[in-house]
Formats: sequence, C-alpha cells, structure tokens
Amino acid sequence: MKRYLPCLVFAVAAFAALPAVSATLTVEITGVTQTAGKMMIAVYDSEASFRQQAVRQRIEAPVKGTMRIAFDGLPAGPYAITLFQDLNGDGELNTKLFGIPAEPWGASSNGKGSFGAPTWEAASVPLPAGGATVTIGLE
Amino acid sequence: MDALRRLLPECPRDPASDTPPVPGRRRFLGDALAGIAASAAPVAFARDRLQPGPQPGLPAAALANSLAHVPGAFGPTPMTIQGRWPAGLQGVLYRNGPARFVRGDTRYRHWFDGDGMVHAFAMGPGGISHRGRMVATTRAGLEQAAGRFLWDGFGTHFADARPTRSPDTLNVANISVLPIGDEVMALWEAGSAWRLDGRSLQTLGRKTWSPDTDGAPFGAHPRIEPDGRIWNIGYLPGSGKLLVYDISATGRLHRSAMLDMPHADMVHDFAMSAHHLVLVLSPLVFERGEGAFGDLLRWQPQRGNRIVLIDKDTLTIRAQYEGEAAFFFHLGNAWEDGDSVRVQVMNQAPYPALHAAIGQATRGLPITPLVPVPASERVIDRRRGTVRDTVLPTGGNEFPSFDGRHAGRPARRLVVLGRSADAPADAFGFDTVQVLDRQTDSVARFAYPRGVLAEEHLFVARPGGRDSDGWIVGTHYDSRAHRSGLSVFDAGHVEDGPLAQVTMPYALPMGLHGRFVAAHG
Repeated sequence: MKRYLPCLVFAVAAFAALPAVSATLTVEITGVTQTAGKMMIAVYDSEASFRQQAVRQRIEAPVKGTMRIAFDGLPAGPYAITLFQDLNGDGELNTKLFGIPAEPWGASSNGKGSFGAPTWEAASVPLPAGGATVTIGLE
Repeated sequence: MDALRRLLPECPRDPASDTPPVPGRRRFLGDALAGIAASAAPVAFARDRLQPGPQPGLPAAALANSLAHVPGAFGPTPMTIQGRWPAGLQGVLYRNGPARFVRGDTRYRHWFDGDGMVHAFAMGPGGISHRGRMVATTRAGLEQAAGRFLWDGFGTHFADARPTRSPDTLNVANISVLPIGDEVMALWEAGSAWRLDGRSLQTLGRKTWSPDTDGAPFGAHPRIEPDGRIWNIGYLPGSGKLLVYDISATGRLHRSAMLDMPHADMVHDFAMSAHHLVLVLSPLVFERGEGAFGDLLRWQPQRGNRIVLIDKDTLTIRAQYEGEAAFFFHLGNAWEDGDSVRVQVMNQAPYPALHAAIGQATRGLPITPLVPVPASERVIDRRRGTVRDTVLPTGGNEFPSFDGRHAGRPARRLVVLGRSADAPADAFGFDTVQVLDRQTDSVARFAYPRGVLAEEHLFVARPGGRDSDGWIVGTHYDSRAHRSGLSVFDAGHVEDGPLAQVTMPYALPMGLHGRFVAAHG
C-alpha cells in the first residue's frame, strides 16, 4: 500500500475547485482492539486516484471498539476509503509475505469481489447529497 | 445371531445372507479386546454381502446425510472390535474434515466449506476409542457469536458476506492434520495451521512458524521425509508466488523461500523426490470478482499443465516443463529415476464438472455423472526436457497413501480409493480400496458393500517390516445404518477384506485426510 501522505496543497486546491453542494461522509471503524500507534484514514474520489492521491486524509488516535470520523464538505459521488493502524509509526502499512498486511487495516466494500487488496470497483461506495456512513471492519 | 446382522443391525433382511457360511471359514465372535484368540477369522463383511440377490442402493444423498445434524463433539467413546486387531498396530489415527454446515439461517452448499473437526482414534492394548472436537478457529468463534456464517466458503457465496482481507479470514482448518510432538495441527488450503492438544483435541491457538511467515498460507499436504523433515508450500491465488517451507521433524522452521510461480492459483498438493519438490500446476486461473473462491477458478485446459522442479538444497526452481492438461487434487509419491523424475498423479474429471458434482452431492442431489479418468505416472525426462505419461492400472482414484519410510523413493505399494464399476453414477463417493503393487505390476481390490462409502485409507508400516509391509487403516460411512466404522486390512492382501473392524455408535461427517502416529514414536 502507498504512503498515506498526500500533498496537502493539492488536496486543498482540489477542494477549492469543487461545486457548492457538500455532504458529510462518516467513516465508522469497528473492531479496534489496540490503542497503539495512529489510525490513518484516506478517502479517494476516483479510480484514477485510488490509492495514489487521497482527496481527504485523517490521522487519529485509536479508540478501542468503534471509531467515527466525519469528513465534511464533500460533493456527492462515489468514494473509496482505505485505512490502517500504523502501530510502529513509520507512516506505512507494513506487509509480510505475499503482501499480507502486518498491521490492522480495512477498506470500504460494496460486495463486488472480496479478495485481497481492494480495488476501486470493489471498494467504491456512493455518497449522496444527504451524507452517508460507511462502516469498515478492521482486520 | 447371524454374524452379519450383528455388524449391520439396521439392514433390510437379505435372504442371500442366510446361506450357511462357506465351508472352511470360521464364524467369528466379536469381543471388546484385541488379542483374545477365539476370534481369528477375517471379519465377515463384504464377501457375504457380495452374494447374488437384491443389493441395497447407494443413495445420491449419502454424503449429505453424513453431514446433517453433526454434534459439536464426539466421545471419548470406547468401541467394540470385531475380528482381531493386529497386536503391532498401536497408536493414534488422526483425521480432519468439514463438519459444521449450518449456522442460524445460513447454510454451506459445498463439502469443502464446513468448519473443521479433528478426530482421534486411539488404538492400544485396551481397545480403541474415538474422540472428535471442532477446531476453534478465529473465524468459527466470530461466526458462533454472530449466529450465522459471516464470510463465504470455498464453494458457497453469501450476498452479504464480509470481504476476505487475508488468507486466514476464510480459514476453517478442515482438510488435514500434522501431528508433531504432543500436538496435532489442523491444516487448511491456504491459511495458518491451527494447534490442538494431541490427546484432548482442545484448540491451543494459531500456529506461527516465524514472524515473517506469520499468517502466510500453509498448505494442507506437507510432505514428510523418512527422517521426519517436513516440506510444505503456501500459495495465494493471483499472487504469482509460491512459498516453500523447510521444517525440522521437531517442528522448527529451518528456512522459507518465496519463488516466482505465475501459474499457482490453486495448488492443493505437491510431491517430493530425493532431490526435488515436484509441483504440478493445473491450468486453473483465479479471476477476481463476486463469488466464492471455488467458483472464481477458471479451467483453461488449452494451457496444459506446468511441472516445476524445485531443488531442495537451494530452494530455487531447477527446471519447468509443459505437459498435457489434467485436473487433480492429489499426487502420490515421486522419486528420482536416473535422469528422470517420476510422479503419480490422481487425475480427476475436469474441474468445473467435479466442482459442480461435489456441490450437488453436498446438497443431497443426484450428481451429473463424472467421466472416470485414470491415474497416471508422469515421467519427467530432465535430459530431454519431455514429459511422458503412463496410465496406472488402478482406474480413476483418489486419496493416495504409501509407505512414508520410502517417501521420495520408489515405494512398492500405492493405496488409493476407487469406485466399483457398478456404483450408481449419480451418487458421489468411493467404495473400493485398491493397492497398486509396482513390484508385481498388479492391483488388489476390496469393495465395500453397496451403500458404504470409503474415506481415506492409510498405509501403516509394520514396525521393522520391509517396504510397504504393514496394514491399511481407514474409516467408512455406512449410509444404510447411518453409522461410521474403522477397518484394518493386511496391506499385502486387501482383497481378503478387513482383519478387524470397529463400528461406531454414531455417524461421522464424511471427512478428508488423516495421519497415523505409531505408539512410541
């Protein structure tokens, strides 16, 4: 998985160019069992930018059980969310053999294809104008 | 009381079985303890039932019936031995197989899906006892708490299934066993091994061989050298890689290596010769999408089979070869033969037909009949770079077993299950135990009565005996009585039928693979 350190300037510029309609995307993370490290959440708005350039990102202190993180002011449309718990603080999702993640992680899912690393096709979920909550179980 | 009816209490009365015993055959008397001299006759089982006359059928629902209403645990159950259990055959037969298929409103539709249950048949001077316990995997615990299956099975897709994020997400630890020391591990296709206590079968936890391989796929068919050293593979569909494990006899990981293997989307088994690990890769390609893993494997026979020889010293690929396409789950033994490497392949019907038939059988439906495909011995000529196939005379077969003291060397005998020619074509399963003798180029066979399905039968060496001298031990499911049993045969005379047999007071879900651990090592 790519580094979760998007260029903030780019993200702000992209946001400034969007139309006035804005919705809140609430990401609900379940199954948090450890409080170590940081929860790194990235939101993507297109297949081309998926796992390359996040439109929003957040770094949060992990809370056991369920966490809720709100991303305001997003235009309605499809989004995909990936997240991981950076236990060792190196900013990267560490992996073991076969690219199996060594740290807890999760991604949004629409049920289409469910094996291994998420793809835009399997991870994109719609954000309507009224907002939505996307629940992601941490593995 | 008629000896036959004591064995099979719920069978319909067959007038043919009331005929007097064949002159010269002693009538046996059952007894609880092996070694009582009065009952030395072979168990009167198949030969009597092969008398002419109406035979009870093998219902298409036989496999499904064995999988229905499985209790959460079995035993410990002491069992009555009929016939004379060989005094030298002492130890534990461990077996594994899919056992739980229903949770709340959710139901699995493929035999390979069910949560694993490991069995131990302990054979000692006091008799034989059976115990079975579910493997308490992470997945089973979460689904138990939820009261339903949360993820897909190998062959079952749920519309609202959670995504599969890592190999262990789907792990039901239901295929085979690997006993080491005081533990027995429950193995699965492509996830971690699970550790159980070798006596109580209590789940101890998930096995980690090393930090680097933690959570990596560990295959269901490790190959064991005569000196106990263990080789295994692990694969991840779509990864283009294969992991190889080199483990000591005491269970310590010595080395692991990742190899480039672009055709390794489903590698259930592999073989071992003196110098090589032998991979035979069927042309199954994993296609990401919505559905169960087993349904996302595309059969592409035009690609042929790829055979890969891995050098055991360096854990690198020595050479690769192309051969005729054939689908199979299991390989028998492999061995070096001059410039060649030979490997026994248990060919099956093409994957789509077999996969569909297993699903039908699991649901209790008649299966679309499967074309019988003979097993073959593939000869890989390393000098010429060619692969030549010889058909084995055993016919279509499965569940190979051979003398582990000659693993990777030309063992004399190969034990395989087969189907009798007149078994009903719409009922899935095996009913015949076959022994291929490479020395005499002959096949000996024992057919269970119609209505009885054989499970894997293992060769067990007689202590101090020669190559392939010993016994054959295996379980069966009797669909007529809804009971399971365990039989032992002389490996040199399987055609004589069981030397002794145990009938359990219940039916076990038809299972997959096991291993025998002899007493005193």
